[in-house]
Amino acid sequence: MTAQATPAEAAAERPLLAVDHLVQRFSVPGGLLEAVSDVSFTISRGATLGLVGESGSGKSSIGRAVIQLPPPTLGSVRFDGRELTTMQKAELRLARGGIQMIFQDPISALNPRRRIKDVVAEGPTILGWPKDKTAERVREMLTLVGLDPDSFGDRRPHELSGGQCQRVAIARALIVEPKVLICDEPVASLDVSVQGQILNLLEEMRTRYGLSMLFISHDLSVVHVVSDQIGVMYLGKIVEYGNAGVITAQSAHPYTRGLLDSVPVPDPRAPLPPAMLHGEIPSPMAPPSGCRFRTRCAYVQERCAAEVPELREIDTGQLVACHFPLHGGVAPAAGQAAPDQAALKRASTAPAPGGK
Amino acid sequence: MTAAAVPGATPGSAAGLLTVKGLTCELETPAGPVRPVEDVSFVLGHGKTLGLVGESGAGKSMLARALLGLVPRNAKLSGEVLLNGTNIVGLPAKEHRRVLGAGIGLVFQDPMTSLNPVVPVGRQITEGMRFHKGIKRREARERGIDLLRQVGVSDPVKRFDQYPHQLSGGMRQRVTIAAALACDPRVLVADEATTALDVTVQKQILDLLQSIQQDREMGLIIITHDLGVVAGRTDDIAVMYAGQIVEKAPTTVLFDTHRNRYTAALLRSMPRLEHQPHQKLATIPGAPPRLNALPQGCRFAPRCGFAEPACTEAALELVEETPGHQYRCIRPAEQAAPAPDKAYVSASGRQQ
Repeated sequence: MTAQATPAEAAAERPLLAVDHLVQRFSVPGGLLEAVSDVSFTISRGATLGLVGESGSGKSSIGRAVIQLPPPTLGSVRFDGRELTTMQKAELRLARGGIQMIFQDPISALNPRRRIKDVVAEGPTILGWPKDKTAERVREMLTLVGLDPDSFGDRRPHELSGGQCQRVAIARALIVEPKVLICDEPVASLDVSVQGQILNLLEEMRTRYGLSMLFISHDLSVVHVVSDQIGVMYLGKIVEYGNAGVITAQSAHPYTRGLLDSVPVPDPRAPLPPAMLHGEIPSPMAPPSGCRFRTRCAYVQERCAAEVPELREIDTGQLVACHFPLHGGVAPAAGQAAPDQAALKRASTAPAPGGK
Repeated sequence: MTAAAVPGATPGSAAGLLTVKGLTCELETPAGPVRPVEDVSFVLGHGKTLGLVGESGAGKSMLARALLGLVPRNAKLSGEVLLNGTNIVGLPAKEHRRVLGAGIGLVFQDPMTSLNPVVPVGRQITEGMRFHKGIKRREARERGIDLLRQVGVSDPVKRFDQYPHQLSGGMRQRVTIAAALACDPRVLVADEATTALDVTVQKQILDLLQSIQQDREMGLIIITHDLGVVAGRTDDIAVMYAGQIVEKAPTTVLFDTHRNRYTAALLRSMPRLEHQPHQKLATIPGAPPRLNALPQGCRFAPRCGFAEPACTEAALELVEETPGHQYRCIRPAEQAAPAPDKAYVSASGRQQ
């Protein structure tokens, strides 16, 4: 960005969503739980960032912190240049029209006592749209997500299958024409045959509305097909971050490798890789010193306990927080390299070339 | 073993460890009778693993429950379930409990609901062995701790006296596996035992089940909706749809030369790591039928791209393709289908 840039150019260049040094702490019985520890990323227009990790890695907390449910403890969330964390309630309510969310369990995400058409009309009602425009848009949206408004509009959520409920949730989120859609495990509770339908629908909506997406899932094979960039999370931190193809084909962090090896491959001849990840994710109440992954890592060395690895760029282009990545060379010792903020900026999301 | 006690039973290995013949479970519902499990037959040999695959509502879990006789009160079971030659369908309750409790172990999907939250896990593990084998409390404790060690629970002595909420999801599932193993069952049924777990823990639990099965030469039935879970870990796979087995074959045969159109569609619709980002996924349109409104003829026909009028005329029978490979379909997929993985990669290349 140069000083001469017009405001329009500046807006086009600046990322649509910028999350900076986000920290989310919850007070729980027994102390303070840090669910997200200093996470930064950006998503540009039309791009999808996939966040992947085990339960307890903090990926859902990030999704919720972005829409300020609840606001993060520290750090900033800028949407289209505006800071969300300091907004007043009324202002935030309007701004949220630009960021919508869909959830894992579509049936419990819908109010069981309301009719489908009223569920979908909720956003417009809050934003004060006129009634006839709302009704018309509700019909359009239901048709768009593949539900006949005449036969589904008056039904209630319990009369619908999980896949149909997720379609309603998508219609409800998109009717207010948001710029960012946060999807928190949107297909985890659906059958395989329905999973593909919903993923295709999300892709269709993304191209139709030029949506940016934050796609949260524990399943790398799902994240991989929808994302331009992937961030791998472990115990509240991003441990590897880069273009989707690089992360799945040339992962450098031992944790990412372990996740990939755990994905069940539908091929009877594929050898079962030996288990690389032993044990389970430690409690975020007392994360290990140094590298948080070291207690489960097969390549752990002394330095891992002493020194926190910073995200740094390696030869294949992704960012890795590991002293001894699987490729790309050993990290320089502490003090020699500042935390690579410049690299973080360079790796911010852009639609993958060739993506639809 | 028990075979000798039953007149007319076929002793020895020819009958297999667990033989299921024409098992049907009929439920009385306000909307009329429905059959969540209909005419299911299979044989599970000693030390063999069977994968039972299908979507929710396909009848997999009801089949697991029917094997153990754990069906709701309004259910009617017919057909035969022969465990070592003894038919356990229709046995008097007391007899049933004796044969079954020690014969078949069951691991459920959600360990938080299958474990009693107000009873220490140790007591839940040893309950079965004390009841069925009359083992005294002190010895049961030792055996229970040993079982916890076998299923990979760290610090088993301490864990033995803890409550389920003090354990993580993976640990809880290990506890339910220990409880299922307590009576040295000959068959272990894992009903979506890893579905609620993280993918990393899922792998650990599947590896554990496999090694336990090999050590004990048990029969293992893995019930799942994920063909990936059973691909490298089973000898045979049965695919269920709307209460019926629609295809059954040795694992590699099922992946390579499946004939049923539903099996083919299911394999095609899985998201895979070989896919390109933003690639359109193959899907199966619509949703499985309701059991009280089953379509005429082939139950998959309304969602199948290859259906023709004949498909909806009469109920389909299982056809034997080669020994051990059976399917239900009158317009089957090409027999010489290449390995699905390869077919998939080339198809994706064209799609983009």
